[in-house]
Amino acid sequence: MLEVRKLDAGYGLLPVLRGIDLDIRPGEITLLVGANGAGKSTLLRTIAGFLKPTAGTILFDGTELAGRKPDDIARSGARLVLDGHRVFRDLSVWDNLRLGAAARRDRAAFDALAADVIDLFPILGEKRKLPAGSLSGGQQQMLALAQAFLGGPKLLMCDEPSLGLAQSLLPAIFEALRAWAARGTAILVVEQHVDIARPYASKILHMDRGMLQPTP
Amino acid sequence: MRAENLQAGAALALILATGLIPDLAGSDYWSYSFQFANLLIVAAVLQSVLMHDADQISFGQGAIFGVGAYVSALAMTKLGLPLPLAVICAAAGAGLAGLLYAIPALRVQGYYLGFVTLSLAAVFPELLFAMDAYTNGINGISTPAGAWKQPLLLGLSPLSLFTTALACAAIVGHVLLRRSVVGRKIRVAGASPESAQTLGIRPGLVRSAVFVVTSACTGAAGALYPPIVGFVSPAAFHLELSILLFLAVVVGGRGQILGPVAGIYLLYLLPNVLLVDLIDYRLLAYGLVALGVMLLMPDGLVGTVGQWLSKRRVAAVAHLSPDELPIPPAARRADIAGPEISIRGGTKTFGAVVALDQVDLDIERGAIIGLVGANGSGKTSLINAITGFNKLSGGSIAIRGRATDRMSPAGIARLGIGRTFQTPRIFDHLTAWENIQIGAEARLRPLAAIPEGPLARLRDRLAGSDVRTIPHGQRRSIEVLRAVLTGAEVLLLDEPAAGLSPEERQQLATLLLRLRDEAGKTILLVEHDLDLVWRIADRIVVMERGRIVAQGAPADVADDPAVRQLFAVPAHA
Repeated sequence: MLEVRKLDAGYGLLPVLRGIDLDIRPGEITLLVGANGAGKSTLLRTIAGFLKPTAGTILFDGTELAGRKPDDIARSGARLVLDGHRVFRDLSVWDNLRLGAAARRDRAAFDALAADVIDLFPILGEKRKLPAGSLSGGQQQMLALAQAFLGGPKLLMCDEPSLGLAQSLLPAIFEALRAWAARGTAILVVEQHVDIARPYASKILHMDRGMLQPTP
Repeated sequence: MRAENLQAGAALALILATGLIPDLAGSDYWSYSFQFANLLIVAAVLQSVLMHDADQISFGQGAIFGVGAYVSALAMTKLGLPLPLAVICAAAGAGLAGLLYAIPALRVQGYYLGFVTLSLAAVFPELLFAMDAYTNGINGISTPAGAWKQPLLLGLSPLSLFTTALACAAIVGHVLLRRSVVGRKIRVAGASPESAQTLGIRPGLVRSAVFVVTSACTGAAGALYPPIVGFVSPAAFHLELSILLFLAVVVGGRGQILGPVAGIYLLYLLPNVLLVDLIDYRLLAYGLVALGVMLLMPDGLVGTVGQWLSKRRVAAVAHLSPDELPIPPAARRADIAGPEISIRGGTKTFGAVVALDQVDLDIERGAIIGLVGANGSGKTSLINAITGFNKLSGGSIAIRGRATDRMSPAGIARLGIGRTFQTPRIFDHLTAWENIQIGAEARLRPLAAIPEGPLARLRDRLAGSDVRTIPHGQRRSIEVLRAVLTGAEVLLLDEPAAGLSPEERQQLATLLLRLRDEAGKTILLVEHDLDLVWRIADRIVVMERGRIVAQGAPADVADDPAVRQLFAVPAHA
């Protein structure tokens, strides 16, 4: 589904990613680990189009993503959930969810998907009328994920979903990712809490100084 | 630093050339144009200090300039004072007018403040009409320049020398301000008032002072307007002038040293001098230039060109890991009995939400206290209460026996209470090293000298580094070191391990233990990484819905049900 070949990217003339080869298949959760500054977030941002690659190709369902705009890439089904649970704090939970599907026009499909998402995170259904800013940090992260699910992505990328969350919430987040992967979504997740995340991963990739290392 | 020097050099060369060559060539028209342009440059540089360094929006600097011009004209004609004395009067008058802006700046910020200044500036010409007994209303005051326009040597007039020197002084002063302790404090107070308070800076005071001082200097520049133009009248100080000064900074390149010069050339000289045949369409030309530049160069003229140039240079990525942070030796201090911080019945409500509920807590000296609990259980609220960011609704907090209920956050910081934030407060406009240095400059408490070696190595490495290249997790290290360098004896750390890799977490643990054992610091650690907390804390405090539900030694509280539910249950996949 996602085929990255010999990808180089960086900021200005400063190279960050060097010769990345990556394959991601539907239904898999790929865990990306490595030290701070290794280039994990940069890789996600490059695939999502926020950064232009300087070399290499990113094939997504057979079409080239490199050089396309972030909104265009998001519409084609590759979705990035940024770190620090970014939701629209002044909007209600329900409006936040509707924004997740803003790029799609299909009302019936949205209702079905929304029902599924609320099944997965019942708390969001209970608080649907409250402003998103009143949710706790963990609930906001769930909302950010739910928002992404509602876009019906084929590839979902999450940058440190655990940031600022109590450890006990992590398994629930990963359970949700697993449930979504089981429907055929490909998931690429950056996470520092490797011990908690490992059991859920189909594959673990280690990144070091801009290159993917074979995992022992 | 290098870019700034280049820009300052270019600005000085332009000002000197345009300020002096017309006199040497004997062109009265160009002498006049550039004398006036240089005055506007001074006002625009001050607008830039206000907007970019202090982060205050003012749409009313033209009125301040006008106050200076009128005070100087009155001082010269009614009181018969010589120009230098008139300049001093003008600065004083404009400083007072600046106080009118400074007072709302204490209460409102951003565009709201902009609109307050806008309305004051709109009133100014009306005021000149209303006070026509002094100002001659619409006729204005005629102010012959006298000897100031008479050539001294080689055709150079004192007025040209004066305006050129003033503009050069503004540029040099701006660069020096950027590099001074005061300049950094102004920038911190503007960019993050909370962070400024933790460094013992009172942001309201800084903002007011900046308004008054920049206004006084703008007034001093305005004082030269009457001798250059020959008269003052209300028409010259309409809102248009304020907007010109504001746009000059934006179009020139916000925050760039050369920006105000480029902005005034584009917005004043181009429409008024080069397109003089189209004088009736001056406003239109001015709008088109501004629009064109902003569409093509969103970072302003100087900012965008600077970016093109810097893209060709490879920036160095700065790395900073917790184990590189230097540890200060323990400060020798008289032993005071009792805990560092003691909270009794601490309660904080936000409307119906109870963030803290009857919290009793003692934080003993030289210990690491781990504060854990679910999201929203009141951990950050507790830090905010101790640091005075939120006042308690009930109960009391004492630091070394001294009640802090009536103290400002800056005052509490000066008692030696340092903190970091959940989202690190890092200032993009300062270099990586300056971001750390502002801690040492705050000097809340006398700090036993940190061994020069490690700190100097860090300084050498980070001095030229753009802080934006530092990855998220490592930004926290900057904030921790900043707090340590203030000399604070108590460090309140809000999730310092978030986003750190497992190795960096280990380094952070070592760092915190060394801060306790070698530097004698007291640390309150709010952290979701429970393994880390259990490894290093002397005592653990568990919060749930604003209450302390358990506390004790790590081994003792581990089996508490309130604690068990915080731990992730490992999944069996």
